[in-house]
Amino acid sequence: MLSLEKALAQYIQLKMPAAGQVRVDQLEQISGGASRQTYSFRVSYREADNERERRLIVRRDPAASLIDTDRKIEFAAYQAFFRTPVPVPEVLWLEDDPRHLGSPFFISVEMSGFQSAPARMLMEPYASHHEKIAQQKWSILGEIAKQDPAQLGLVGAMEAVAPDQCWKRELDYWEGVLDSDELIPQPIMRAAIRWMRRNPPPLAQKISVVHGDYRTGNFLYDETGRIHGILDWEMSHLGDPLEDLGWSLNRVWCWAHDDRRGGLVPREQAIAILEKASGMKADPAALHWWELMACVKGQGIWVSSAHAWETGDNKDPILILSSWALMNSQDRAVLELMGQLP
Amino acid sequence: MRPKIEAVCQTMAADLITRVIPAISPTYHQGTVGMIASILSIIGEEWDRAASRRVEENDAIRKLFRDAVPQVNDATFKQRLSAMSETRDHDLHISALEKSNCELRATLIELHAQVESQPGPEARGIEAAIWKELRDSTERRRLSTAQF
Repeated sequence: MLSLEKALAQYIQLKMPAAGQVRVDQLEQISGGASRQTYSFRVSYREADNERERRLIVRRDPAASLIDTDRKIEFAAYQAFFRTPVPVPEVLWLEDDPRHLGSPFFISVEMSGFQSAPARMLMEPYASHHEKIAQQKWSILGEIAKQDPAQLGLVGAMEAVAPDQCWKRELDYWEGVLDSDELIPQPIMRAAIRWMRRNPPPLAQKISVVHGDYRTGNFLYDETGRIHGILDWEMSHLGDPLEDLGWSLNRVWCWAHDDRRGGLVPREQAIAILEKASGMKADPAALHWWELMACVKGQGIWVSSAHAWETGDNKDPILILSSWALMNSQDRAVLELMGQLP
Repeated sequence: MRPKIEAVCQTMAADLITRVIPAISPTYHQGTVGMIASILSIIGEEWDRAASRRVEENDAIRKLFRDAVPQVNDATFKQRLSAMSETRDHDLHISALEKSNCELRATLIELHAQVESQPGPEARGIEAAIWKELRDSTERRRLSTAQF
């Protein structure tokens, strides 16, 4: 069996027939979201008598992952937002045939030299730029909400949904995840779900692209507080733009252990930035519903990660840690939203 | 066991973070070891309270069931609730306590759904007691490192 470096070099040679002497080195696995194995590498080649090199990223499907997602949709989202006001890395090739690397994958250009870890953001020099980062973070989310999915070419790639069905589709799906994967009963989540079905949100004010995992940790930032790339579009879909806002405000992303959402700014400030950038109004009742939805979805992910570790071949410690560290916080977030915390 | 398990776990977690992680590469493996250290730390925190929090919670739910029995209309559910309220934790292994905790919490979900749909101050009283127990349950499980 070929090494990953050689297999990647062979594949890139197939995709770049005009290039010669394609070589891959400096291969290093990196943290790149919970659902795919992600590697950074350098590719070198000769082209028109010149030596060239590029740093690329390959995201490969693992045997079992934290989140069951469709790489075609993730690839399409990256393609659609490239060269828009929403900064994303350029994607190059999508490959479904597992013969090349053992499982399906896609390759993108690496955006080097930036940070993404939430813990790093709490340290200097990044800590001095929280306001600036927050301003961009929720403004970019406003840009995502503003974009027309049809003009982006994503209507065919992503499943259509009617404005009155956005909430139901998400709730049905994530309740189904709890039904199939929970290892212990979830009385708080079940109470939230019953309340959500009795009190559905109003019609989505528009259908937009929903990133699906828009949070601190899924964008690249530098030491001046500038955001360079929005990553991890693996759960992107069409839906109510308030879904992303609710997810971004989730209490489990309060990395600074205080009230600042995403470890950056207070909840109301984040909402105000989004409203200004998108031109939308975040109806308080609707947003409350979507914040609860974020809790149900979060718990669905933590529950399925525990299930995957216990029943599958993937023994990655992130499956344990996300479950152990976040499930109770997610429950407390529901209690707070439902007015049940003192 | 001595040294105490919680101290062992916390010390080993600190060793991984301060001594092992700086000595290894690549970054991805540093991240993996960091996660293992966090898991050890959680085990250390959970160790001492693992049995007591389950016993406390199981008893609290049984009391809730006893109090709720008169308000339950469905005869079959009433009988089941009554029977579960009389159970006891004789086996103090974590696995046994967890099994009864899961059975009790599953039934608590049923009770909660039933009383939500019932009118009257008695139903509201039980509902409030259930929410209090759910709130207490998150305090029992809360980790010192939790974001929230």
